[in-house]
Amino acid sequence: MQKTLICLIVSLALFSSKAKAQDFTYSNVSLLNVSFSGGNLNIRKDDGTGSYTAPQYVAGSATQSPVAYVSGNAPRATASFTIDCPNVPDSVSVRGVASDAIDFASTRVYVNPSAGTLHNFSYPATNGSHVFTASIVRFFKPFAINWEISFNNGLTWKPISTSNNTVYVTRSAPQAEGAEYKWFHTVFDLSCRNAQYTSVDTAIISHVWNEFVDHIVLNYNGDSLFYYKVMNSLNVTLATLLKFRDAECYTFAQLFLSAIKIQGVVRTNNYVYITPINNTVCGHAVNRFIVKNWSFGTPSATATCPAFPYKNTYVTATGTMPPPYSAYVFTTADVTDLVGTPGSCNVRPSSYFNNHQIAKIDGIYYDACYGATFPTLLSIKTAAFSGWSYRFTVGSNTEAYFTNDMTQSDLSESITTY
Amino acid sequence: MKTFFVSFLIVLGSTLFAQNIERKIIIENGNFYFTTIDAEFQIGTMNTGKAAEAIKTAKKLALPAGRNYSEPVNPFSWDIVDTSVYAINFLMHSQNDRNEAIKRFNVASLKEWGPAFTTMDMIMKSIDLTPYTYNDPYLFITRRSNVLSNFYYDAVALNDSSYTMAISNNGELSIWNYNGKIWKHGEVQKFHVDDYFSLFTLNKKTYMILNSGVIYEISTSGISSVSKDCGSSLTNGFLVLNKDEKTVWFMKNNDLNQHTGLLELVKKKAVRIF
Repeated sequence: MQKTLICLIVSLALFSSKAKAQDFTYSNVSLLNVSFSGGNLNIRKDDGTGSYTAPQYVAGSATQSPVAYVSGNAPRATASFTIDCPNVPDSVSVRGVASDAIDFASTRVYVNPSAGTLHNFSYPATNGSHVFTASIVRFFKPFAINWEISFNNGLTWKPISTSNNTVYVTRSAPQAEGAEYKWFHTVFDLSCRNAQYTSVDTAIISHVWNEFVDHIVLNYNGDSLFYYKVMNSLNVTLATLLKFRDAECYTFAQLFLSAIKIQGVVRTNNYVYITPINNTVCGHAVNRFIVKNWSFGTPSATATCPAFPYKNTYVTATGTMPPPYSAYVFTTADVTDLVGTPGSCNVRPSSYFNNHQIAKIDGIYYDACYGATFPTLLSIKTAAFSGWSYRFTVGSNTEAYFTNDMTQSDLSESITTY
Repeated sequence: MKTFFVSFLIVLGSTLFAQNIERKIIIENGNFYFTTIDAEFQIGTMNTGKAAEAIKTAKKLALPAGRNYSEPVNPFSWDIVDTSVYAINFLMHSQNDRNEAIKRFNVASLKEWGPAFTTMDMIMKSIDLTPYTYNDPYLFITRRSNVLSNFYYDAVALNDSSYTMAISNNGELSIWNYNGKIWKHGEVQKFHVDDYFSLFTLNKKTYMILNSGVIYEISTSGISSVSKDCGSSLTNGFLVLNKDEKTVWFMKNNDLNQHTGLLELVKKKAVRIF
């Protein structure tokens, strides 16, 4: 009875004059889905299961897919609807009023009549009324489109429903994907979220960097990305950082650089691998450093190596971090790990390394793991390290020797382009 | 955590042949050997079986070595001579020392992947494994220039006292030989390399095949061209080094049939170079 009444009202509206337009709701008109097109960028899922595809908005779905465009382009959208009614008009008008004052123009569309009461109609792929401002990063969370319907050729409009998608707008065309650098969801999100409204390279870089300085790096979903949540993490690529949300130092530098590349910012020689210069002390190459803070107790190896008088030992087979990989475990220890420099989402990450990866942009070293910048390579060791080390295997054990004399070695850097 | 590793092993076992063969298949003493690298965790697997049988029969042995997936990709550098496996462990890990990357171990010491040990175990083992020799070529080129551009390397062993590495960076190429005690290297040459190359040995000579397919004979004395070409980009396939018959072949990835005996497959599908 109620449906019949609504349809009667619809019919009356269609055949009435402007003055007789009725103010009622069309709850029996439903938005099914919305698809974006028109040059939108491919976005890979963080979990590695592929890319997001159309339709990006599906009514009733718990999550909706993101959309990305390069600035200077207009979003293009199509939508599908149903109307539940025994008798429907041949056509209706549909329009969308979206974020950023973008309109999807009124279009008269035909209703596909069915034998039942449920009929389909579609809003054709239509460009938004204006482009996203050229050369400006934008971040819409959400990018809402309020869909409206008119039964009287646009004289009066009634809301149908709102589609919400996250829309990322990059400053320029992203740099092409490579073997490691991919257009992952979080890369778009982190970059556009932080660099919103920026345009020039330096502003984009500094705003993206802001994500890292407070040691809270979040993915697109607001989940923490941990630096060594498991102290023996195996994850060393951008893909595994985003998939497992826990990784080594390699990955945070990659994430930072990816978030810049996704905006089309080009910087070469930007990825730096640092490691001790491999100088020889007491017959062994110095090949480890420890990041603050470590406690130096009573040295037990002064006679063996006066320059590196502190000695720890561990079982080689189990390493320095046996299961459950939550702390360093030594058989004997003159030097012990303390809470020190926090990393991303972790106040006590791993800190005994052979190497470390950081970004270098315009002469500044950016350590995304720790949210710290350094003006020179030399300044890293004094600001961040507690000491140097070398180690070697004796039988089934490993002996590691330490010093807190930072003059005993230096860092070397190998630079590549990420 | 255990669930994760069990799952990993299952995935590893089921996807190995979806991974690329790293550079080559070696046939020696009636057995074949080839390596694959797990794309997510970088660790290597030595696949081995009878040369007359199909490669799907291969045992999958865990290698205490692997390689990174950084760009530009340099495939896993490995070789096998008699019972010794040589490998350059260039996987990315904060404790893996590139200067200690060159490893040698006995093939009989390798065990099949299984629940007894994890990927993490193998990575840590690879890091702590005493190096065969220090990676002087890498140290040399990084001290010559700290910018790595067109950085590629490969190394092969002629025998236990002759290990040869070619390494390129910034348009320069140098050839190194380790005699079991010390490294010697030839003159650094201007030699543009824009993609990875591979080395192989034959009749006590060492050859370098560029990605373009062009082949050179190399030694610390120099580089000389030979009138050989594999007729394809290295990227399209892999070498087959039959040390038993002293032949060298190139096979395209598309021609790799896991169900045909390897020796038969090579004769049917591969292009003979030497």
